[in-house]
Amino acid sequence: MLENLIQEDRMRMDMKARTKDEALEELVDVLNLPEDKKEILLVTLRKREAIGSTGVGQGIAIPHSRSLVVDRLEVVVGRSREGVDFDAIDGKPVHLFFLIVAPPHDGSTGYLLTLGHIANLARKLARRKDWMDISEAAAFREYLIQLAKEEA
Amino acid sequence: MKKPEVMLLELQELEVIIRDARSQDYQKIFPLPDSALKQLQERRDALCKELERVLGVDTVDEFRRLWKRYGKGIVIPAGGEICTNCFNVLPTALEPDPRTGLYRCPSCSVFLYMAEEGA
Repeated sequence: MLENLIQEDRMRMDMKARTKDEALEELVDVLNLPEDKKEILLVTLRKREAIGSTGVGQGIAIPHSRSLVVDRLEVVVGRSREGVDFDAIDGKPVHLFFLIVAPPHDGSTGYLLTLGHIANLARKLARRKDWMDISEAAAFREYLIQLAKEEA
Repeated sequence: MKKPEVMLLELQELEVIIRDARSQDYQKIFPLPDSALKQLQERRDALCKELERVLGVDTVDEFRRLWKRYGKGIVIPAGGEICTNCFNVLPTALEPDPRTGLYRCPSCSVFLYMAEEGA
């Protein structure tokens, strides 16, 4: 499933953001949305963050939302070497982001299934740090897909 | 001030967050305390009040009715010739509601969001 969702052109291996707002904006930028749609999505993502950070700890965050501004399920992967203050539950800076956005009329369970898959992947990633050593997006994508296939 | 259709869109996005936050599947992945859900509902109610002031109570009631009926996107982009809710053809010369300035699908009544052209 993740093979289809994680694409190289939806990955940023060296994010510049240092704050939560900057990180959300940098991730949303990857989707190449028109300015008005980008702003609508950012408002929605900020609303979701306001009720509880999606920084799940161990340097990983999964900001997510349904939004009209996309017409299909989108996953953006971003990595920051410096780390971002994202109000994560463990208070640690976030180095790896999975932005998940789906249309509101995504009637299937695709969105929640993807959230579940990414949350599982995050649990596996939390136990290792070798992903910080990978430079190329293609290699990083392959790493994530293989890790997702491994038994928990 | 934000355009009314953008405010309606924000209301829809809040409704979607609330719906997801209430679902058991979502709670298994991202458990949220009751206080968070309450906070979302308060934001939604505040936005409804603002929309009632800008667009009138009838329009907000209509939003609620449509949301209850369709339970999915009821503020939708009107970029093409077809309504993506009911799949009926939209008239080429669609007129906005003279009271609110909002565009609606003549067949299913959903609100049409005139998105900017772009990627």
